[in-house]
Amino acid sequence: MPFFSRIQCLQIPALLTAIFLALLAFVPSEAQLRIDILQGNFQPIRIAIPNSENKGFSSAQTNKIQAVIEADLNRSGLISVVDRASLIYKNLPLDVVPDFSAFRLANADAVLSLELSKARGKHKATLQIWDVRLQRPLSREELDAKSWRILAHKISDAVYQRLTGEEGYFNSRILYVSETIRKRRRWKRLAIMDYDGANHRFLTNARRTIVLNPRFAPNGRAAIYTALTKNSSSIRLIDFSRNNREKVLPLGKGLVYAGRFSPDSKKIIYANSISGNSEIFTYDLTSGRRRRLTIHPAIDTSPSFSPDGDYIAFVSDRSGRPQIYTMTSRGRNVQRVSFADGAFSTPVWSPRGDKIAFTRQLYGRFAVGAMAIDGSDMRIFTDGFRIEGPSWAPNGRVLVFFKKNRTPKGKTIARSRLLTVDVTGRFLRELATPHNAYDPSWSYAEQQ
Amino acid sequence: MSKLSQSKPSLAKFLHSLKISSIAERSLSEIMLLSALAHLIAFIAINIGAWLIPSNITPLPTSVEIISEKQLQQRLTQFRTSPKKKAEVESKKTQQPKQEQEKEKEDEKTVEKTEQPKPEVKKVAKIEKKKAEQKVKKPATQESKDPLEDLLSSLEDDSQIEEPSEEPSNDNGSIEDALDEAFTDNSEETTAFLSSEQILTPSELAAFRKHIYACWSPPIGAPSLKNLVVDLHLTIDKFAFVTDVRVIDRQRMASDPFFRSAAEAALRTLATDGACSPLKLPLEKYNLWQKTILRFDPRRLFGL
Repeated sequence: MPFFSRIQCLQIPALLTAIFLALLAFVPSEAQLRIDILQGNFQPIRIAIPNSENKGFSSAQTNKIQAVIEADLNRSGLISVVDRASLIYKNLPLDVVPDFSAFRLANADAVLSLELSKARGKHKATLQIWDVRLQRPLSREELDAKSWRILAHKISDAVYQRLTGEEGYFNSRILYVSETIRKRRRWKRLAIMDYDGANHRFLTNARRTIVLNPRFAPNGRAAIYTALTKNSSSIRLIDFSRNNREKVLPLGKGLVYAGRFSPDSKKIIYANSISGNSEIFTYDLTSGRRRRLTIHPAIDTSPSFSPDGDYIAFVSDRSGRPQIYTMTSRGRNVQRVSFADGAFSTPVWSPRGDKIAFTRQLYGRFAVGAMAIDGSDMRIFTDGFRIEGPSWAPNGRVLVFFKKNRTPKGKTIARSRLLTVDVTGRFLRELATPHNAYDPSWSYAEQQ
Repeated sequence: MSKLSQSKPSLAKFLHSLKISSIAERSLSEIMLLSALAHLIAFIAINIGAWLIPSNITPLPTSVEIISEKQLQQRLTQFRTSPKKKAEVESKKTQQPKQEQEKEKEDEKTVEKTEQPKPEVKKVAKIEKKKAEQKVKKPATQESKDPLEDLLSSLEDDSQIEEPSEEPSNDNGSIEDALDEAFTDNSEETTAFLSSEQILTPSELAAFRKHIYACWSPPIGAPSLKNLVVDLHLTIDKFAFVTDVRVIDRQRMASDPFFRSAAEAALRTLATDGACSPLKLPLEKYNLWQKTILRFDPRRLFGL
């Protein structure tokens, strides 16, 4: 008796032949020639954004959303938005495969098709990204947000992430010190705004208190800043989730300053100067316990945690000049990492964990740069009369800092602005602020 | 009785004679199936074998050049007169006599210890000695004191007469050695055996690279750039248009978004309708570049 039926006998050889051919495909074929391409010509990825489909949005709102997306992507430097006037197809429905040749004529590398809608008080978007050169879809996503502006930033983040591989940073906020002059007196207030300058508002209003060093918690729900009065200094905590309620942290006697959060937002690390000797401490926000990390007659200040919380970068003049050092989170294994000329200050560990940003003062000029965590590969991004206070974007690609020009003759105060620069130093951008701006801190926005 | 045994009685009988009755009774398609199975198993076995073979084993030369005797002779003389080989020979010359003399003494001792009347043992000892003496230039006029030595020397003379074409013992190695070495050289420098028009000249390579450089937008500012080297396997048609391109490390495309973006940037460089299409390659050398691997390496751009 045959062990396979006739049908099986017909099917199985065909199957085996298919397996045989599939296996043949795995046999490595040897290439004749190998060529290394070691140089390139950087060009931003050009994306076309035709008009979106709207359900419940007015055309004015749609235009605003598209304008925010375009501004975000153009500001990144890695992506540029193709002028809509140059597009043959002004509209692109979500489920329609684009005419790639038409978009190639507009010199686009990618196309974004959008569908916007409103449902149950939420703004929603469905987006589809296409690769024009490779002629295939790249991704499809659905997003929602409470406000149209946040939705626009989230769309920008999604596009940026898909095209560059990197997390977006457009749905983020900047906390900084705003300075205005009233009756020849400086008025320093804490201000917060979206990354692009929108939704600007002040958080403090005291006229006789100087605010310094505002720092976001990594989760974006709280912040701390240093408040200086005539006789004392304190580090204050602002809780955004409780209507910006403030609390003075009990950090001990003496001058307390240069506070920062730990990566888990549960601790504060700060400098405390008693009798002229500045040391580094941590304060546990849950238990209220303080811990001293450095014991040295030199000035130790400006501490910053590594993203994993295991190490701390700080500034010390124990070598004679202020230089950057690292130590473990328990204050052990202190190692000097900067050896260049000049005085270093404000070290900030990158969220990526691979770099430490710093300010360097040399021959009367300031510069902002970054180095590898062992001090190698030091790069200066920009320099000037006074450039200080770098803070990393949440994705670790961009830095924000302030730049103050020399005071012009006949004027009492010079303009101070916030600028951003990416890690390559190519894309220097200014962030619009209504007044003079100092000491920025950058964080993701709270989830909304 | 199955169809096979009806239609092909001779084959059935033959199979019966081999006592493979079960096969004989099965249908033609079943036999085809078994045959396909056997092929598949053999194929898998060969592939597994290929994977198991260590990669450091030098493969056989993929191309063999047919040359005339004259050419062979020329190459051998070239090979012998090369300065490297001369130096080797000189060093051999200085080392060999001492070793051979020691060997000789040992051989003589063994011969003396063996029983004299047995000619077979003598032969063995003689052949060994002969081989040793072939390599070392020994004065032929040495006086023999022992009758055994006389006999050995006479046999040695015979062997020289029998093999007149053999290279003298004082030469720089045997022909086999020379050929081995020549082919070893060939396997290391395959291009040396290719005609010059089959090789991309430096200027052709430079033109090709310059053309690609203008089209490739490298991933700037990405973390760990040293891990963003993308290898693409290209199939190119005779007119230098890329007909097929694939990323060699496909798994990373799915798992590493930075690598995926870097790979997509490299793929865009070679897009059929892009500025770099067709590639700048010498069309007459199609055989050399029809399958090419391009490595997009951004490390040097950022001084890594």
